Amino acid sequence: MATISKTQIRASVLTRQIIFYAVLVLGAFLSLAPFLWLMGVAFRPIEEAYVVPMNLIPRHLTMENLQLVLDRFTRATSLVMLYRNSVIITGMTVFFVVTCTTLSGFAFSRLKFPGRDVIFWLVTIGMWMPLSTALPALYQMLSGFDLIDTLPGLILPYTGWHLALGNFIMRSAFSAIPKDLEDAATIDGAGTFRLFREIMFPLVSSSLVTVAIFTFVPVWGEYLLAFTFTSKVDAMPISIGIRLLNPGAGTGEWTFPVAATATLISFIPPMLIYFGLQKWFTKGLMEGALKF
Amino acid sequence: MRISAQRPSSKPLDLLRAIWRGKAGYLFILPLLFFYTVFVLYPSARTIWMMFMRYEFLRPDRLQFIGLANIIEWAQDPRVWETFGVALKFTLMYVPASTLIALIVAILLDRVRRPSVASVFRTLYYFPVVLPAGMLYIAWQWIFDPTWGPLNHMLINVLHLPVPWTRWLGDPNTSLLSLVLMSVWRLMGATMILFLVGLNNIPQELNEAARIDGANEWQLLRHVTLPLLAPIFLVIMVLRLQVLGLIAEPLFMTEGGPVRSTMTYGLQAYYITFRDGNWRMGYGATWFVMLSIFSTLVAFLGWRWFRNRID
Repeated sequence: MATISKTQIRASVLTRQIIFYAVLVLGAFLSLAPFLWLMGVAFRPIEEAYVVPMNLIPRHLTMENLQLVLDRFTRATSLVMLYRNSVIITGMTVFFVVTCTTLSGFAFSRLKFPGRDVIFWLVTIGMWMPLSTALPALYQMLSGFDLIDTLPGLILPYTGWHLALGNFIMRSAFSAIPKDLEDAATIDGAGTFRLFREIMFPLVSSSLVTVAIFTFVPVWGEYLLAFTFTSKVDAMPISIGIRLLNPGAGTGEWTFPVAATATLISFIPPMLIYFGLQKWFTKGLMEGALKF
Repeated sequence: MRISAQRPSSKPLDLLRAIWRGKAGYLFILPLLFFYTVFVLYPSARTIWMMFMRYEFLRPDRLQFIGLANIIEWAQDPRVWETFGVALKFTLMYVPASTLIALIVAILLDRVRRPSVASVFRTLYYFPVVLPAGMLYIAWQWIFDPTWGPLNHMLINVLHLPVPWTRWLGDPNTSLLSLVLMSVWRLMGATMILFLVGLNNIPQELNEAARIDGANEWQLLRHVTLPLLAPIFLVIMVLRLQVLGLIAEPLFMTEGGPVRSTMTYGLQAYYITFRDGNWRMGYGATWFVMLSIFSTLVAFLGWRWFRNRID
């Protein structure tokens, strides 16, 4: 009797485990489904893309769409231009944010000056300030400086609006360094600048990567400022520009699978960072989760 | 007499001395302050100032101080209530749905024993958040497409479900719902992480103590886990309140249509500022600022209400 109920319990535990994992797997599948479908479109031959209903899973796989996009890359300037713009805009923004917040994180955590904490909280509040409220004045300002439809016209506001989180992370990073280290360096005669450059800076490099990641990902996909401040291909990032390349009917070379391939290519940088730098990503999420 | 003569002269002097001693600090925060004041604080403040001006971007010659006229017009504008209703409808569908799903997923993930398995699932669930939003809007337009789209195909031909609507973004009855569906999919992972952080902070001993006292899983959830997650709920509510100002999703996917069914408050404000007539920036600024005031007020009241309930 006792043994039967034991196996029964074991069986019920097993069933519960199976249901538990089945739900988790189903959820994970739903999270990935749109992406997987897009992959399925990108690698299917054109004949399979323009049939109703379009099969969820392609019967044949082909690389010709990728080939077409790459051809277009080398021939048509617009697609190259869009990717180039995205790389420059995102790269420069990350550079500015990392530079500014490394310096400020050090000052807010290690130096003393009047107004320090007030300024720090004023900057941190920026994490929750609505971007849309600054939009009209920002547009007017940029057009006054002739920066509409230029790369700096996006880089500068992006930098401003992505400082708050980085500043917060960097201050925590510098605060985590033991005081003894600072004292030892000061006794050895190191001034503020040497203390920063030679002692502190190397110790916060992992947080630096975190800040870079958390600036890169949102800026690469940003759309509202990009849409508002650019209307020409010269300065447009790919997140907006791909819209110009919307597929039409089944004819012509900019077909649906080709567009899907181009979209997937734009996913590559954030995906590389996400899967490649998982360790830093998770660390940053737990530290700065409040922002997202 | 002597004291009062000395005090005002020495205090500012002390402050000046302290500022001078802290000069390295100011130097280090200077780049940050430059970007932050010029591109965040100043435009935000200037938008508030624009609220009191007749300012049309394409007709700068008509610039004039008009006091409260914009605010009075805003208060009488029927579009305010209409579009705010749309935004509110979106918020009331999106926030509970995404919060509930994220909570369930987080609780399930928290129960996965092996850290490596949990981290694989977490990575997959969070994946949509890192994909570039601008591109996802296009992908989802394809997904919702009534003829080619995989959503209808999946629901009708594969699962054989009796779907009452098939036009998704093209149908005024379902356009807003479609935007909600996409947003829940796209941002569920972000809310999930917040819950996971909260669950992580619950001491394991507390759960064990409750189990020893004979609590079953449901009671544990109801009486230990959820009450301890209360602060996280608050954070999520405050963060998600931002969707009241939703602009990008309807702007890119539906342009407010069909028949204004997705014309949210934020999108209407955006169109007033950047599209209508001579780009009525002064009036558009009024729309944006009024929403900010409202959101801040609601967040503040919500926070106080919540804090009182926790105490």
